[in-house]
Amino acid sequence: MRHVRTRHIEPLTEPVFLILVSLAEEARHGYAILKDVETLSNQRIRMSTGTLYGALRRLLEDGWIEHFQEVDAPRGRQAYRLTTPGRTVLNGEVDRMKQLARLATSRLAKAEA
Amino acid sequence: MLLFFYRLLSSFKAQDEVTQDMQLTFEDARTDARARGRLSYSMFAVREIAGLIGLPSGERWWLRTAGWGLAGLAASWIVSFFLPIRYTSDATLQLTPAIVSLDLLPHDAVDVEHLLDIEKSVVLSRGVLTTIVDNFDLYPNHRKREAMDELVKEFRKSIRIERIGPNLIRIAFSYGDSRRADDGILAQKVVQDLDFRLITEMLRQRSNAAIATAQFFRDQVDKAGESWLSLSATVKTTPASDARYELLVLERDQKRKEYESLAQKLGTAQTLVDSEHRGQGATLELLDTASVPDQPDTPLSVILLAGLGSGLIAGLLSALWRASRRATPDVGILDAAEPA
Repeated sequence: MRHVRTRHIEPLTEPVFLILVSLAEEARHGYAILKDVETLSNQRIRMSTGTLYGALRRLLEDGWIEHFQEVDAPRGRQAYRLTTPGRTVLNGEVDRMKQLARLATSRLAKAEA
Repeated sequence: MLLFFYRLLSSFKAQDEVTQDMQLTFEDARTDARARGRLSYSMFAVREIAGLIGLPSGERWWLRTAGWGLAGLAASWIVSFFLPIRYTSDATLQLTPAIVSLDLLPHDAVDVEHLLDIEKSVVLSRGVLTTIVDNFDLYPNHRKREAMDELVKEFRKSIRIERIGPNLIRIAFSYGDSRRADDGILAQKVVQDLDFRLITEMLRQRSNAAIATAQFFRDQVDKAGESWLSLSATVKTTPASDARYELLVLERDQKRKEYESLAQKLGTAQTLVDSEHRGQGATLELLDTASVPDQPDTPLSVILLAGLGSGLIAGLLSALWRASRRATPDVGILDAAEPA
């Protein structure tokens, strides 16, 4: 039995959330994740490689993502993909955000009515 | 440069495939940033280094750090008013060998170290230094609260007389009392005075030594001459048949040789005296005159720069400390066991 962290008690920070979102679609290498996070955040979040890989390392340790060497990858470049627990966490976070959005929308609607 | 620092900082991280991959990604990102222009590359460089040392990329840590830097700058500016401002003037003296050809002049080598020891003891004596303090009205502010003895000790510490080459002597004096540029001019005047004293002291000492040596040999020659004459007279009055005659002749010849040897030495000493009187002996000459310091030893710019640097370092450390306090992972989570 592998010890894996699967349930979060605090909301994910935006950079980590965006990294997970970036990997939800497909496996990507580091530079592609950086560019994708920039695109997802409308150029608002520009991570340094140190910050990105700090987060990736923690996500790897937590078992939410895994890395592998792509076929024909130059100079042993690694690619990263979401694991099942990681996908579960991301889904949970999305649900939490949806719930918050629903709550906020209903409160706003009540106030306007 | 950036690549060097990046590799240096990343060498402190675990050397595994993730770190290697990070370096490859950095190279890609660097190429991209360079293509976007110099400004973009500079911002990229700051972001990358900050990211590597653990500063959070989302926060405006640089704004806080800049604030610390400005605070350091302001603090150093205030501190600069309380720091003593000292000006240093220096001059170089050269030991010049005798002008007369060394082949003609008797051997008279001057040892710079020995010369320095003697001269320093005279020039840095309490009496000489007190005279200089009085002549130039040095340390007016210190004089109000310190005894002359203490002042002279401080004065002596501020003077450096040292050998800087085979025949070169450097004199330097560091002075600060009134926090005005006049202190620099005073420092120069004191060095000029010390130059003069060293040069005249050397002339005086060498002249005295030459005269004393000549006088010593003159006395010796006189004594040997009298002895020789007396023995010669005794030999003349003693008949050859006398048993003491041969012994007396031998003794007379010895005295004559001694007289001749001493006379030769007297001649040499007299040549040295003549040479010193003509100023043709070994002398100290001014090679570089006393400089006028136009900047204090520690210029204001250096103090301000130190303040700014310290502030920036403090700001960075503060940002790192804040980041480490918040280091609970970007992902807050509970441990759970994955079902088999």
